Amino acid sequence: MPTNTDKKFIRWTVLLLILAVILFVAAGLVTGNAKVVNLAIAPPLAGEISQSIGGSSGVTLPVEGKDYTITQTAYFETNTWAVATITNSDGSNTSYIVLQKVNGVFQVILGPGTAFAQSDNNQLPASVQQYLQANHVLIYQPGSA
Amino acid sequence: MSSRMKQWIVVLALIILGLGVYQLIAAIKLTTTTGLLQVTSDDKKSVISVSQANHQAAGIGVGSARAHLKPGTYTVVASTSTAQANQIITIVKHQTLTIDLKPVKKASQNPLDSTTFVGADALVSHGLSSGQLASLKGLLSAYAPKAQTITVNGSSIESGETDPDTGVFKLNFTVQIDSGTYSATVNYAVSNNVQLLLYTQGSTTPLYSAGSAT
Repeated sequence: MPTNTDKKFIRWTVLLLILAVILFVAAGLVTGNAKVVNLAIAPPLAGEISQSIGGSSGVTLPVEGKDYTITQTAYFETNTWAVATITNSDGSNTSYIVLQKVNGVFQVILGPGTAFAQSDNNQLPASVQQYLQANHVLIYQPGSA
Repeated sequence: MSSRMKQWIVVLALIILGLGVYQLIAAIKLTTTTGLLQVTSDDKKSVISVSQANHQAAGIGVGSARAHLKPGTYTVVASTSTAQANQIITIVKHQTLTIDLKPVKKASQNPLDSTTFVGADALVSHGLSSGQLASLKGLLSAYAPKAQTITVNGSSIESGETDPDTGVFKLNFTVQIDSGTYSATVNYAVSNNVQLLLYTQGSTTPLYSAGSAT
């Protein structure tokens, strides 16, 4: 049989816990239950490339340094075009991605890929075309078949 | 109820209360140092992500998303496998930014790379250069542009006779293009250009011939 002191103790404990719950709910209301996003530092173009590759499940995107690695980046046309070379996590496959700076931010124009058709070549500046040809990426020419 | 038990209950309740206070303070601090981004996409299946120069990207939701971000310029992307929308935004402290993205069909970005090549690298150890291998992949993709997987049977690779007049080398192998199996010959010389001949198994007449070895 609980004594009066016990009842008083239980009452105060329950009140304390209710207050804690109110604080948690208030914290949720203050943040609007929105996700807090802190983007980790990464090499140039990593974010744009991850967004371009996309994730295989849900909202999880590939992470540079873990799921793929940027091994080389070449810039062209006064830094308004770039070609990034990436390898997959075990280093067994190398792909190229062509990016163009639009409104101050790089966006993926072509790739990732290991072989691009000549028709895609036409939209690129000559300097980028030459670089891709030198790396044997622009090799397929239907006319030669 | 023993006094020891009461002590433990008080300690536990105070810890939970402390965590609540901490959460509330952290939440208030967060809202005073960040801005809120609210994104909706016309395509409810699109993955919404944010990225920033020299930072990793992060997915923040599917179809719609709300995220607290530090002040700065970000690229918000809503994308599916076939459509994408980008928008550059600036997050300001204390402010809420609401945007609606309308993904449009992506331009063809990598028509030759919708196919996964398996085992093709083994051809390099038999004499093909990486540039010639890239050419071969291009020719195989041209034959079967919608193939999901093209598998080169590594144990089937064998060198054929070299043409003494032209100096053209030859590799014979079997290749599986999705569910179909073919005999293949690649002719190559010094340049990156190669010739591919594909045969149905047992046939001596090529069903597909492309490229030239130079």
